[in-house]
Amino acid sequence: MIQTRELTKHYGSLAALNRLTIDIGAGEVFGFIGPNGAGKTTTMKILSCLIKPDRGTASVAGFDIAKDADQVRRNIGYMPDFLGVYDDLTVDEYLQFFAAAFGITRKNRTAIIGQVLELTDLIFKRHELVDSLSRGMQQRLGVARVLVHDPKVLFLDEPASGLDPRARIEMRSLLQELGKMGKTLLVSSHILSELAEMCTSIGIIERGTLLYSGSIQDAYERTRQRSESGERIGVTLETSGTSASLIAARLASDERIAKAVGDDTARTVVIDIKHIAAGEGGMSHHFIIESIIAAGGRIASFQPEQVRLEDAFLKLTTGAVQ
Amino acid sequence: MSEAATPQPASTAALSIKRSARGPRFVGGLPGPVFAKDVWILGKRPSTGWIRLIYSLLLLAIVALTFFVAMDGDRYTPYGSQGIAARLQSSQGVAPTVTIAIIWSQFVMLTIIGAALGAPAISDELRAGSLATLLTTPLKATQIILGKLLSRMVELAILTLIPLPLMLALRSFGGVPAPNVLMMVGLCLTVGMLAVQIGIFFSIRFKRAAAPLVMTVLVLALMVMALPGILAALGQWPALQPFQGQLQTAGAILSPPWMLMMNTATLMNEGGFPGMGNLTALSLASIGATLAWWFIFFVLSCFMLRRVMRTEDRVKTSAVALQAPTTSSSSATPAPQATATTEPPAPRRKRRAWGVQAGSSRAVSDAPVLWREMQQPILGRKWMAWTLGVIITLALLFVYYMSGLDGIQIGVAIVGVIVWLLFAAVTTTASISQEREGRTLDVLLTMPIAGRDIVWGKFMGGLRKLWIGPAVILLHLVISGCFSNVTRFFLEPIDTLTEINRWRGVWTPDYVHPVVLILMPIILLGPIAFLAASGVWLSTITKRSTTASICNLAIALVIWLVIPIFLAIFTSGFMRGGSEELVTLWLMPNPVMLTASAIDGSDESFRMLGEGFKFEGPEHFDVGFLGFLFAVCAFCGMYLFAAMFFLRSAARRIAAGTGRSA
Repeated sequence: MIQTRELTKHYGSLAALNRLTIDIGAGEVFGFIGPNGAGKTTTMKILSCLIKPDRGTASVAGFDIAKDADQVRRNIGYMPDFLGVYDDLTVDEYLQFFAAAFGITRKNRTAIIGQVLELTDLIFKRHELVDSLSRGMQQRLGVARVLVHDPKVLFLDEPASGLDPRARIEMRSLLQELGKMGKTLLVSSHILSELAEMCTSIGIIERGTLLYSGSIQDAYERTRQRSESGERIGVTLETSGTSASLIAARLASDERIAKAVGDDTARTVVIDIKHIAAGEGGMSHHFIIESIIAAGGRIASFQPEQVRLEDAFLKLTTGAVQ
Repeated sequence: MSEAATPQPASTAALSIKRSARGPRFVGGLPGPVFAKDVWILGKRPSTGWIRLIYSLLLLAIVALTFFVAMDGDRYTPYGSQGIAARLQSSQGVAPTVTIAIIWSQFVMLTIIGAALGAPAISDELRAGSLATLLTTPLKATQIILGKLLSRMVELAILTLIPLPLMLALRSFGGVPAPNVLMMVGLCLTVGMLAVQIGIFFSIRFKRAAAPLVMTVLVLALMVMALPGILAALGQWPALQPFQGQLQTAGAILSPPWMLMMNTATLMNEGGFPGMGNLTALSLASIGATLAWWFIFFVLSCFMLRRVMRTEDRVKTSAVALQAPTTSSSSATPAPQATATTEPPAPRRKRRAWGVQAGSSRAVSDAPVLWREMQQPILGRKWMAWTLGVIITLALLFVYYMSGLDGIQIGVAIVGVIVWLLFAAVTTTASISQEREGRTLDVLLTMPIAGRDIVWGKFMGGLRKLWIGPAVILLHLVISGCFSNVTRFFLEPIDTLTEINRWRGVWTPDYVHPVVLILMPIILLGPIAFLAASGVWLSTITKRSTTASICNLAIALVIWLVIPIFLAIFTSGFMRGGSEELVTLWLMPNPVMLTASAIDGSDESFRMLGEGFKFEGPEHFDVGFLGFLFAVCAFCGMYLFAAMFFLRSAARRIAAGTGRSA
């Protein structure tokens, strides 16, 4: 659905994009991750035909951004990071404005606007001035606007920025809903935990260079591979039984375990399993449990630590761009 | 856990030291960080460099032309070949001429630049959202306003100093008394300062810089031109005639341009203004009066900003009050307002503009950009429209009362045309720049709308907002024409000629003929459409609406004022004999001249509508009514053609950047 090949863009001597190549399939929810100034917004603006790349090609929904810009516009919805609104219009007029721009007939507009307002939970604000809406509502109105012409692809630049926690949760569920509707979403965000919950794939970009592009699971796997240990497991022991330090010493002697640290006060043992062992899947945990029990320990809780998107981001970007 | 204060990281400390070393320093904490920041930012802006460059080049061009014309003119004077003494004497006359040219150019440019620098001062902060941050600091309103003002005064001072070496060099020619020059430069600088302050005052109220700029220009024009005019007119009133001299002096003091004219006359040895008193004292009084105006606007600006600060405070207090139960309450029960704490206080309800009804929405047409522009209120708020209406009515009534309806048709109409053209030049540039400043342009450009649809919508919107000016001018012509004719018909003794005219059913001599009501809309349509189109074009080029406004104003001034003046100087200096047609030809499409010709011509040719329509200028061409009508239509067509050119270029610019059809 979205393809870029060697996209390059310079602002003076600054390389905003450096040979960016990505492929996003239909129906994917693609999270675009990177620090400020990494090139996320530039990519979105190029794909929305707002600026031209210096080099490279890109196509959206099968249309080349250079040759079929009008067709690209009809198939995309772009929501910028800071949503400017026409403060002299009501919510309904605002959406009508964009519906008319997309050539939707007057007859169909009312029904379509009603639907998108229902979806974005703004129907009760239909005849209010846009300027009177809160920031969260204005962001939702931005989403409503990009849905008016039912595009196949949505580019959402920091859709949750500046929102309070409640509005952020609402925005996240709205985007998840859009993903379920089969839209292809390219979402940039700084809040990685949110992207992890709703994205099917991610791209990590830094200083204009794409460092990673693929599924989230693959990113986690790579993170594990890059780390010395494959997986970290936290074990809490019951008060009775062998001390945590003794158990840790016993576990450390096992060749499949990279490191084991025991805390007698907290009665916890943190175990880092070697990557090869972690690769053995579910079996990898059994030998630990067996070892602890054999050492006389009584397990109160056993918690394998999940790799988070933040970890993946840090691991995949460390030292990648000089 | 240690409570010891964490030392500042070395890198941060180094950065702050580096920053303070780079930024401008100020003594004893004055004028403050706002000044330091603004001086730094203004100095870095490319537009500042452009302003300085264009200002210098314009001054250089004016000086060069004035100098060479003044020197070259000697060849044609009778004493030009009469020996060294006569030539030396004429050379002495060059210095005052050039000095005056510099000072008047400075006056015009510093006033415009001052307004342009002041207008975005606070509105830029409002739009960027940084004013709220600024208001959270312990800075007082006075410090903020003073910082803004002084940082801009630095720029004005630099511009004032640019021609100083030249003016000092000119003194070597002799004939340029230092006190006069100092007074005149002082007047220029204080008017520039006042323009900055008025700009800052209005920028507190508006998010977009174009509106404060327009308001500043209008208020300045009222203050330095209308107010002295009113005082002079009041002196004519029988009850106030004993104080006529004092009122005239007061009017002159309140009007720096009037004071500059008096100084100019003195420098050119054309005699002073008898009965007005000592010129130096008057000039000082004028500087003092301008500073007094500045102080009034300074206090008003501080007062207004303080109000904004109080509003911000109220919003903050209400937010804290909402959070209080969860943050400070010792109650064990969870606060039920958990959701309320996360929601920021609802924004203050915006006052609705005209045409927007509560609880209902209008149907948008299939040309959305055009539709929105057509729905925009012409004068923003109701109170603005009413205020403007009342001011215009009072001004017209005052003029009619003081001068009578006889013989003021041309004067009022010309002032109206000039004011409205300036207004058109400044306001029409907001179209695309406003979208950019409001951050709505990106969204608009992702729509599959052709460039011409966007540009046409913006152009028509700009044009629509400008119908009031021509309407007022026409209203004035109708009132002054009809009422004076009625008076003449029924109240004055009927002579034979009037009797014949009444019998013929034609208009009375010396009054406005109804054909002017047909000619005036055609005369005004072309230039206004031209300025609206050039405004749209400029707004696609420049990032800021103020820059676009200044550029559009410059286009209007160059075409209708600067080029004729240059041509007049050039032809009188270099092309003696038979070259005045050039100036007349250039002045022909000038809307001000056309207005004068239309009213004057209809005045003289009422009988047959066949003669009397002359084109104003050094050479008069009498073309008759039909010829004049044809010419007016042709000029209108010419302006519209140029407007189309600008619009096409603007559409292409939009299309080129976004790969859409023009």
